[in-house]
Amino acid sequence: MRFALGAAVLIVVSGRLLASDADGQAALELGKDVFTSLAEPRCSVCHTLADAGAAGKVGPSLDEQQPTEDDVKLSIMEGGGVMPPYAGILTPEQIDAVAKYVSSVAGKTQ
Amino acid sequence: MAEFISVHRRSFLAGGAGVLAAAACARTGVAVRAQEATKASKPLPAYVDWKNAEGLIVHSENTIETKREFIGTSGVTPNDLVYVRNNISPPDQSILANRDAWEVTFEGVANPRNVTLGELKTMGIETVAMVLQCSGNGRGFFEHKASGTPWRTGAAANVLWSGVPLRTVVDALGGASAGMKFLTSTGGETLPEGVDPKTVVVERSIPMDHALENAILAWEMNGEPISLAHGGPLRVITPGYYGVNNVKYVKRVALTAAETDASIQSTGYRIRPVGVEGAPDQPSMWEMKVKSWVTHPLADAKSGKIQIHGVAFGGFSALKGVEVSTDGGNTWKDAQLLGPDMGRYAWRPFVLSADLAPGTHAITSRATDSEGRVQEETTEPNHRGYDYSGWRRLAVEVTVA
Repeated sequence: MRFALGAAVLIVVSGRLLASDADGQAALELGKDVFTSLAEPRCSVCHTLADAGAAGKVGPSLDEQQPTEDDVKLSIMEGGGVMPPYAGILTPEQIDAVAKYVSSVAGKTQ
Repeated sequence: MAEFISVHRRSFLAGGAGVLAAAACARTGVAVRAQEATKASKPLPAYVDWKNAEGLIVHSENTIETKREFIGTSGVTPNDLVYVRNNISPPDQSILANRDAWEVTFEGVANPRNVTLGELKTMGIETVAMVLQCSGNGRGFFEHKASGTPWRTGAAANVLWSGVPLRTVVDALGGASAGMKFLTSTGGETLPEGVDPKTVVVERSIPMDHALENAILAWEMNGEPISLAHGGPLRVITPGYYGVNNVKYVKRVALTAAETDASIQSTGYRIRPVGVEGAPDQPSMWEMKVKSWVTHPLADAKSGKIQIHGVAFGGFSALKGVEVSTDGGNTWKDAQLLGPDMGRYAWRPFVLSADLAPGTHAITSRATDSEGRVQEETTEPNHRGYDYSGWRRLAVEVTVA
């Protein structure tokens, strides 16, 4: 009985892990979409990020900058300099996704 | 020469990420030196590879800060140490190939037309000494997490600019058209396709009366043609106003009836409470405040006689004087102003000779302007973290052996 319970816990836990991996992957894909097409103006117009095929020269190169997830989120929410704030333009889910995406790929592609 | 502040008290910590880093440092006994060293390890971008890498902190390609201890006592900041902040990446270096051919469009005057830099040079020349200070200078001292570069003291410089006064050009073009109230200047950066230009263009408006009295169209900076990093071949210089108003690579100079509706003016660079969105009815980042800070010593010192020095300015008004405290603001002594008085808009180095006993000393400075305004003790938080000027957090804690 105890063994069966343990096995059930294990299954549930590993199931969750699998689900969260899949969620993570989906978030990264959504993040890339936000970066290249969903945000308006598009992130890729102004920023360089090799993983997204973006070579914008208006704002800082994210490959150079390699911002953390929190850095990206703050910049998107608040804007900065001539960068407009995207709070209210993108959904919280989209903002989380693009922050996760940029912070995980910036500077990683040669 | 790395900044080495022995941090013990919460009140001397920088805001934002710096708080955590510095707090961690204080606990482990590793001071701020390590943090600064890491920041300094990022190489200078190509367009500023002529700058003094040792004296600068590269936050990003377009945000480069002067280290606090690299500001000396001569008054003028050397070009290779002047901070850099570009809202948009600079245009190609090729715009400097033939400086005199650079064309500027003048509007809002009786006879609007394009004028080349070569022609501007024939109209007149004035030189002005001016504090160039980024609106975000001191953002790193705020406790709330504001978007943008966490500048400490190093987004400021004192620079000599030479060029033709705006009023001379306006007179040459027949005078201002009726009803004009603002000087609106537009930068020559390349804007991306597919974006509403108003959302990204660097275009700033300031009150016209002040501009006609004080602004110049400058081509020379501290005796050299203005570099690309600092807005060459031609930059609008607006003494007493924050850096963003000093538009680089200026392509259009217009006297206008209203402020521009570009985002950088209408909703950007506005003072507002934390959490409030930017709007045109909030105060714009125009006139600078009275401010000072110590640049030496910042860290350890030997007991006995020491020269405490720093820089002070009135911002929009002339500087009247500056006091120094070595006990965290309990008592103050008048400092001596150094070097020549370079005018209302310049900063002035100051010095106080002191005898410091062994122990720790919280050293700070407090400037007063010609209108009797005294530098604030703390700066009320504002959403974007603009211009932290409070003497309490600008203080440094110095350990005397």
